[in-house]
Amino acid sequence: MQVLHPTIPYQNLHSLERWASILGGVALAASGRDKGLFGCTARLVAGAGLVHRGLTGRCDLYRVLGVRTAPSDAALPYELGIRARASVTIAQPREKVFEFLRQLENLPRVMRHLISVDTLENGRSHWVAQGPAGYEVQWDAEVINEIPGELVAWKSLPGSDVDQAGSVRFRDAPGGRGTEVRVELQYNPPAGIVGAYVARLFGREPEQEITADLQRLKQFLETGEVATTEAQSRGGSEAGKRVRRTLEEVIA
Amino acid sequence: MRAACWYGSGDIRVETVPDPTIINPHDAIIRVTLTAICGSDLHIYNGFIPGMQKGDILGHEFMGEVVEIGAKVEKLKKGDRVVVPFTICCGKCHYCGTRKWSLCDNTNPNAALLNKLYGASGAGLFGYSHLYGGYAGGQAQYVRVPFADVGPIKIENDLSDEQVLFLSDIFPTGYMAAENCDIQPGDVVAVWGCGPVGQFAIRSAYMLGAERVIAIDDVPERLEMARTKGKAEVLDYSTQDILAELNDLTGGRGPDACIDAVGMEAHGSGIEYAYDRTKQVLMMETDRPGVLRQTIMACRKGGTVSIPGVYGGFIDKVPMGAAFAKGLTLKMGQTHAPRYMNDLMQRVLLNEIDPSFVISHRTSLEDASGAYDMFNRKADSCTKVVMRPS
Repeated sequence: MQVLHPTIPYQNLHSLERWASILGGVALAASGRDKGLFGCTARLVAGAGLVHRGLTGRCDLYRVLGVRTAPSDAALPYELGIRARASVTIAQPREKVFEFLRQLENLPRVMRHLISVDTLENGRSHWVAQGPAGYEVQWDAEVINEIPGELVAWKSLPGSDVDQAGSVRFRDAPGGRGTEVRVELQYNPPAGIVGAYVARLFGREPEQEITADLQRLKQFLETGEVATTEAQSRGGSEAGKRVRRTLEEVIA
Repeated sequence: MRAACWYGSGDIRVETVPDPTIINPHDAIIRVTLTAICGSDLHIYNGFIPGMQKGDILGHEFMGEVVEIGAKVEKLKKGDRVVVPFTICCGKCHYCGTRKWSLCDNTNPNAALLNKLYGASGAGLFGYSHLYGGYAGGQAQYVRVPFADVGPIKIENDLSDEQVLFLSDIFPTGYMAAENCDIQPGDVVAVWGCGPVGQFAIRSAYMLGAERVIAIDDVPERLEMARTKGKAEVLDYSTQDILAELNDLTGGRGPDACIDAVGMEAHGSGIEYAYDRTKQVLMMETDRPGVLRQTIMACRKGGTVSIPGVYGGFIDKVPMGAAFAKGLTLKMGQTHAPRYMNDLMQRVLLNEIDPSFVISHRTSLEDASGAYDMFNRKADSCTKVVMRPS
């Protein structure tokens, strides 16, 4: 996983927040009149900083934290976010692997945190996934590049909960070992980079998740089932509880 | 059903748990007729295997009768008598296709955990922690067997349960340890550890053409078994200087191949053992590699060190310089059990070996807790316990 820190300054504040910053800065600077030399100077400097933040629409703290309150028309969060990549080799012909993945409705079978994908018109699709801390996140995506058997690339559309862009590449593995599948994903997590780190703490590291999803994809395409021990019997307080549905039920 | 469940270091409880059910289409449910405690189960019992959860059902050596099959099971049918290998193998991936069964790509649902720890994951294993998939084990009345058409072998002869049970793990494990030695005519093979795997390694080394086998342990009855049943020359590390004795017994050459059938919980004596024990207690070292060091030091130039004993983490002061200088070959890994099961069963049918010779105790599954304790303490001359679910 790679966290991208943008070097080019850009506006990351919403207009309401910019106005609040300007007004707050003026008020803070004005409040220092009778606070003595040190108090007055400190308030002036801090107030000026807030005014500057508001006038430019740029906040360095937000930049470092990956937080953005400004509305964005750019679905491609090229200037910040998380980049993750993962690969797997599947002992199946390239066409078969490509076809399975290109049929987007198949993806929730193997991608654990994906709840549903619906194909819309014009190469667009609607995605619903399980986000960190039990939140549901949704986005619309469109395919921006497709070379049959080789590449699918997509980006999310404005208004998405998760700004993202990604690609899956396919190529023959050497020695007749099947197909190498490479996923690259760049996204803006809902709570900024802090959110991504928190998610990491709870075991939701994107690269690990993508790798696990790819392994499930491989299991499904090679064997016709996804290995699981969910719903199996065990001792102790969990005995008798069958909290999770079997895979067959999920697929059906 | 009744099952032996793990609750912590030294804490095994036989409990009533839900019966297993078919979850995936290639699953079968087996009614267990005989199961055993493996030496590697003792690593779990002693708390050295990470990734265990309270209530996990143990056991990876078991056999029984097929009582239910999933929609896509074709080779097995209800009523078949089967021995189930401890590795769960999909039969479709590159590794299964090249008979490296224990490295199967597709049967560990928690592969991501092992990816982090080891860089990659091998096959899922029965009853051997959530790192290896968290599959419920066979020390139970019933067990769910995934990919039932791939690993399990049908027993369609009148060999007894005790004669075929060990095809599940320790017989193939001892055999692969000897096979890894690439034994040539005239070779002398030294085997550290005379537990069940060591005993099968000794027998297998002779089957594969070894001239002499030297067995090393400190438990008198195990050395006696190696001497009488295995026809090995024996050394007791508690009273003898192993390196000097091996040098002496091999005309100064050193053994052509050395087998570490002990693994991460090696015992020893003196300063070196105290050092490893201390580091392990302080969690500066996860495994105690005393035997591994000795095999490397003892092995002749150009020889092979074969490691069927289980290691799980990090070890210190391994004499890599000696291994390099002597041009040693080190071979190791979980046993590719399905590769050997049929061939070894033929050897049993031909009376070349009766694997039940390692059994010292027969009991009921209900006594699992006591059986673990006895096997762990090597009490009452215990070398191998088999348990019958009632």
